[in-house]
Amino acid sequence: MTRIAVVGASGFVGSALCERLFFEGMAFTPLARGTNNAARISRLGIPIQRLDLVQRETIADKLAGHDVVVNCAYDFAGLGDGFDNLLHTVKRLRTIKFIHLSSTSIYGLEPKPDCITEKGQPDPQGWDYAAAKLRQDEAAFRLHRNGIPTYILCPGNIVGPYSVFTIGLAEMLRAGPMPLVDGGGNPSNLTHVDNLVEAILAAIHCNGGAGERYFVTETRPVAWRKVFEDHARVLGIRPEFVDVTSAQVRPFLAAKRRVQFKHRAKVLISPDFRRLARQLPVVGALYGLAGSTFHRLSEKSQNRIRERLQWPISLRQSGEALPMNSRFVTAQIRAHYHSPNKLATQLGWKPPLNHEAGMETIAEWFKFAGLTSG
Amino acid sequence: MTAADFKPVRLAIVGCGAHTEYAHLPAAIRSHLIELTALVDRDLERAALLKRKYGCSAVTANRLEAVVDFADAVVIVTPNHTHKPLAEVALRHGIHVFVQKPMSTNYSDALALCELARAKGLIIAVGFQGRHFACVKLMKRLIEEGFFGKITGFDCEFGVRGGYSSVSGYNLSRDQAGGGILVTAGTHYLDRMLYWFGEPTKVEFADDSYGGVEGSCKGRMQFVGGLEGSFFFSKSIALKNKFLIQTERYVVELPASETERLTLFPRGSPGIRMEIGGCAGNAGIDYSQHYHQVELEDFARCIRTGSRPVVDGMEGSRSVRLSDALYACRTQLPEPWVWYRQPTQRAAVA
Repeated sequence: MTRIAVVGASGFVGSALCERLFFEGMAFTPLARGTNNAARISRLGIPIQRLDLVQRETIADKLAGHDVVVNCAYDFAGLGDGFDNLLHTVKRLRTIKFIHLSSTSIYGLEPKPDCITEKGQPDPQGWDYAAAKLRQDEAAFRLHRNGIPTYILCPGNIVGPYSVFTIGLAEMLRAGPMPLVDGGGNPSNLTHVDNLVEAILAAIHCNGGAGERYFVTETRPVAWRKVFEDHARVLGIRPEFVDVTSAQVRPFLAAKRRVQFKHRAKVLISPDFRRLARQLPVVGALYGLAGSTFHRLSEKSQNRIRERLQWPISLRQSGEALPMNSRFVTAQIRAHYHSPNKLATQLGWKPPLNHEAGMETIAEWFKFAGLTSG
Repeated sequence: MTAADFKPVRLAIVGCGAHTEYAHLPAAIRSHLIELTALVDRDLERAALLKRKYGCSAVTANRLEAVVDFADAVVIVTPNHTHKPLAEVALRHGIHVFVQKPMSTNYSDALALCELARAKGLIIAVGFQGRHFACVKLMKRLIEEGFFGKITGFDCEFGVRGGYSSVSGYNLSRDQAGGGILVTAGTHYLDRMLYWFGEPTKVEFADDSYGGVEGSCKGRMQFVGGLEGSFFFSKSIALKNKFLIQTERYVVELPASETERLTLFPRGSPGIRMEIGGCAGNAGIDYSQHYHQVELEDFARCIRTGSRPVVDGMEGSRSVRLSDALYACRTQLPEPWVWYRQPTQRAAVA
């Protein structure tokens, strides 16, 4: 029997995968960094192995004896070293198959038309998250070239029971009104988590098709307006929409890209970080030097530095300002459908849930979680 | 007894996991009624690390027996299945015991500890810090005084995704934790239900376990006089995190994070919301920050005065008995969204 290691098992996709493997009677090991989020897998009675990908020397012991490694780990802060350590170990152990979860985000916030198939050239368009995911993809392709059959699965925003995206969408629809971009006609490119799990299973079971990237989305485009209306229906609420244009949303995409670099810089200049860092003698001395240099600059120069790192100060308008920078709004600007046709034809993926069946699962879960009205 | 007369209780803390690190240890250090004398953990390095972190002068050891000469009392904050054996060691050495909830992994063990403490003339207290909240005490008092009129029903929801990772990982093991969310977090709310409403006459319970520790559970209870209530605890879903109590005169809301006030919605007066607070308890204490200190100080005072802790062993054992009863009637929690476990699978029509 194939032995599967699920890395990042306590996350949303990892938990869904472990549940499916458990009920399919497959041999698997859940690996997770911490236990705090492991409720969905700890109920299965399968021992959870602790795995911190940053500790390279500990990974081999945990992965040894597994034929397939599925990487569901999502840790934006650790997208660098931990992932490299994982690939290094998979290569050293000569694992039979490596399956990596990437994202359609590698095509940027406003993808170009060639992204309708996997032949399109990824372009993160300055978006830090997408760039990090693309770097991971490139490393995974190198692993494949080094002899480990590797599959890269690219879902869109992942929906379904327990999905943070689904819960957030429910909250946004409740808060209303929802900005509807260009009539809500763009394809949503959502991925039901159970269909993603089915794609992982297809990659586990297939004999060919390695070294490729595969989109995992709906088998036909589902427009955002329908997504919103269907979620509102299962929530038991009447959706409210406000029409906006993509031109109105575009400035918020730029802010979303820009904030990534500034966010990191802001951590470095935050009072908490400075207070702690100054306690180190060397840092304290450097800080003192930097501080005195900064204060010797002209006010204009000081303000230019502040402007680069700290401005604009984000203040929300009181009243009924539209949440234009919400992910549920900015995501609507993506005009192209990432077809999963290649996944179906090359890996034999048969998604168990179409949009309507997927909504039924969400409706049932909303009822369970007490999210429906009435 | 005045503060000047009070001889601090020499305290050993057994178990140096996350809960000790962030709750009991700082609480013990802050209290002038307590002299922290020992930190005990199977992992001696972990005990030493906490000693360094807080700069305390306690001795460190990897066995409780090694520190019995340095302690009048012990706080046990270890995996649930070790509560009973460790408490027995302490009691047999003449040491008072404060054990973190749940008191034990089954009711008979809890009773055995109570009996041993009684035979030795020692105090056993159980860590339910919520019992020290002013609002929880106020609710009890107002129920007894008939302020609300008849209590007709309640719903209790507590659910958070995540939380802190236990150092030992005991909470992932049914053998070590004695159960899942029902006993790790839910027991706080079971304890309050028992405190306010008494023993249920009938219980129903369902959880999502498939051999491991449940992550979500739901239950219903009936009480004498027709009161019915329900609860929903989850470690995988964020819930409303509050008690909602239906009474003849008010709907009473008590969020899980609230320590001071009750929120009342008078029946027949839509749009009116009232907040009430009491003046009972330890005046001057900031409950939201120091309730672990409050419960340790209650324990320390009881040792010195011979009085009864707010939650003594018999009181703490009630929630263990209730969770035993709930698990005994357990059914499988339905998850109708899980299509691949249903008798008829959905068609692959995408």
